[in-house]
Amino acid sequence: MTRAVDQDIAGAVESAARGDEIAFARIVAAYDGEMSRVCVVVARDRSIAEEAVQAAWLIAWRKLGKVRDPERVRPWLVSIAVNEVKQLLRKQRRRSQVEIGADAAGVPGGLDPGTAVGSLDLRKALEGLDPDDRALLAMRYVAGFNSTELSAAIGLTPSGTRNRLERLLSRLRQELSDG
Amino acid sequence: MDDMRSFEERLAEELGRMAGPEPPVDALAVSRSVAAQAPKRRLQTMFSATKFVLASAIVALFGGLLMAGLLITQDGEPPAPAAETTPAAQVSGQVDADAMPRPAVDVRLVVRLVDAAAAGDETAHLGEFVRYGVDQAEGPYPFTIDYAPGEVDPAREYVLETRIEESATGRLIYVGVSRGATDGTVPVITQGNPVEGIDIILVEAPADGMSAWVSGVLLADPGVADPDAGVRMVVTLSESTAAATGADPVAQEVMEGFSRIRPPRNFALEYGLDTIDEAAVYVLDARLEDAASGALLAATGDPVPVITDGAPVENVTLKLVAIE
Repeated sequence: MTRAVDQDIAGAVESAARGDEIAFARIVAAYDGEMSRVCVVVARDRSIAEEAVQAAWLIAWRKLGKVRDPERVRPWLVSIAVNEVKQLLRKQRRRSQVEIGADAAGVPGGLDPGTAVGSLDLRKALEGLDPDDRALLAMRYVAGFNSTELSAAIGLTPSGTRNRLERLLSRLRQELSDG
Repeated sequence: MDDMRSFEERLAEELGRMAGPEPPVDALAVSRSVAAQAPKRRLQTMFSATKFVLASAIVALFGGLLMAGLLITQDGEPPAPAAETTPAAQVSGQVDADAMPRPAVDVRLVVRLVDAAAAGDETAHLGEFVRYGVDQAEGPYPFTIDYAPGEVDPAREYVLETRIEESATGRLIYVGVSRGATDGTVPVITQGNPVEGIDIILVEAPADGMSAWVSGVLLADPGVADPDAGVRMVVTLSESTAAATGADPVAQEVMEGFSRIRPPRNFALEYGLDTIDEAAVYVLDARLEDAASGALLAATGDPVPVITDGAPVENVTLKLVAIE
């Protein structure tokens, strides 16, 4: 989603905060896809991701009036969805009944093992991360958050966020070279 | 440094694959659903002065009408009767949502009153009730459908069609049946059938209303240039003889925009299970074409069999080769 679109959406945010359902639908149309994609990476399960995004829209509708800078609504929405998906995963883990599968869990698409052995290793490494780490990577590389947006989403300073990201990338690279 | 950048590019590609394509969304349905669950008090933002003026105008209008009525009756003339309107009739009841496994905002509950002979024809209903978003904890959902009695022929049979469907795609998920009924019809109004207190429960939609996905990844031969903004990618699922017979594709995904279609890229096509003939062969192919002229820039070689006869429905690889 480009910054130009973000600015277009700013007007819709103000209207939606006053209860304009059509304006809110414009926001949903603009960001639902991105929120879903980020949540799929975090959850590795499309149905959990969908549930999280649905819950996120309800929260967004209730709290839209508190958004101080309407042009920053995109990272705000993605962060809400990420928090929701992490909560759902925690609840699921507490029930500890369901073991989440990888591609079999309903995430469409996959890789041809013959053409992408390296990708399979990387996929495996990503799937082995905990949801917080996958959320960090998804917000950075799927949603394209910059370090300021990332830091706001995870509650660290920008430099702390960069350090955490660098450590995570180094760990991943190390795992791949060891494997 | 370059190593790290190349690793980050690889990581971004892999995460993009994991994320998959953006799912379709019926934004208006989501919006209406959340608004229904958490209504906002819109007048809160109105200035008090505006509210005062509005309230005064309403009082003055009704006061004026009341005075006019009193003046006329004082002259001994009875008030004029209200404009004659065709009285509407209603059919009402409730839909028990217990069958829903969890709340869903991206679905809609639709109850339609139809002539039994036209059942299944969405355009032929006499009236309908629609609700966006369903949560079993909130149910059962009461419904009321207004209809014009003049449109009802006592000699004919009328039924309620109830469905829970995906808002974005219309895919049927649940259908409604009368509680305790042995078949799926819910007769109403004529021939001794009720017009109120109709108790409908949901059951899973029959298989012929269900859909499935065929998915995989699109790769590009090194000879295929990176697509720019003026191209589109089309992935098509069709019966293998479609090219010869001119039959419509079973499903198609069209992707536009540079960032969305640069291979490697995941794809997922939804198809109706009732459109699949187990004895037939189905194939996937993809093409990259100029969005303006339709000129073919790259395409898959031989179509890839999928779905039937042991062919895969996921992890299908389509490889684009440049067209000379």
